Amino acid sequence: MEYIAAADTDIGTTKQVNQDSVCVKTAKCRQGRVALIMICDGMGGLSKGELASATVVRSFSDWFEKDIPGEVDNWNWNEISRKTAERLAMLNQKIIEHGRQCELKLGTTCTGMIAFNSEMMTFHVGDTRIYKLSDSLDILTEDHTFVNREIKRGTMTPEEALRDPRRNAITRCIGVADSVSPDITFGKLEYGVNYMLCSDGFRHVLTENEILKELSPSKVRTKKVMQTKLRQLIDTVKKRDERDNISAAIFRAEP
Amino acid sequence: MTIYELMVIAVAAGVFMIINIIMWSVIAHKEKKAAAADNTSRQKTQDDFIIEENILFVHTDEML
Repeated sequence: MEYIAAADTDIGTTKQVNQDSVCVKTAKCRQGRVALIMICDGMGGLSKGELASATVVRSFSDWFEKDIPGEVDNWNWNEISRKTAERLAMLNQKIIEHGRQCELKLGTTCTGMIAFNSEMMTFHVGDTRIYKLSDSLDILTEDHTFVNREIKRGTMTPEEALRDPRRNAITRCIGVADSVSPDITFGKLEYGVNYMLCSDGFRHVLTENEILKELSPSKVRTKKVMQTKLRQLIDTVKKRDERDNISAAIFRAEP
Repeated sequence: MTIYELMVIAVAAGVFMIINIIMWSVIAHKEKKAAAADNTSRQKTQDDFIIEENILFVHTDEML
């Protein structure tokens, strides 16, 4: 079994700082393969979003290197999910406390997946997304946004949501509310399928058809092609005047 | 107390001390061996865990 992954990020055309942070780690061990893929989008309207997102990815990166090796002998998804939720809660408090001390409001989304051999877990807060690209495109996460909540309630249509001035308002993130409730799911990691994680800046001006066509698992199989395709799509997004930071990562398992 | 009784108490105390010294030395030695084995096992686990892809994009040097 092999894990293949790539990532790219861009400050975009307008922002002064790239507030996105990305972590892609894969490892080989006697028990098989492990991976951590995550994207955090620092809140653009709040100060120091890049510090919030960096804090989260650095913490998970350290956890992968220092603690995950001790988990592989007796891998237990309940333990992994518990520790993930605990880490997010700890980081939430840490960021809130820093904000209080410095009289700032800072926050970040956080969306990631952990893979162990042919199983995976996703964890998610905010409007960064995980897509599964096979014959079709599926979105594995639900946006924690004001407009998505209104669409689900039936008080807004998707078309209205696109024009609504509150379309970027997030209802859940790390570093703002006293408690954080990540969505955590478990599932099988499918071979020969591309999993793509991205910040909202990556997907705003791309259609789902474009994403599927350009990142199709039948065409995008190697790290080199993943890297090239991600950069091409980022350049396309910038040409379409996307104002936000732009980040994406692709991950794939092969037997 | 007679001198004989005091001598018995002193010998008993001495034997008690010697037994304790031996016992705690054995325990300390065993704990040291266990800690060394634990470290070796942890090091082996770390050695067996080979990071293949290692990408980290962050945009600040500041840390909390």
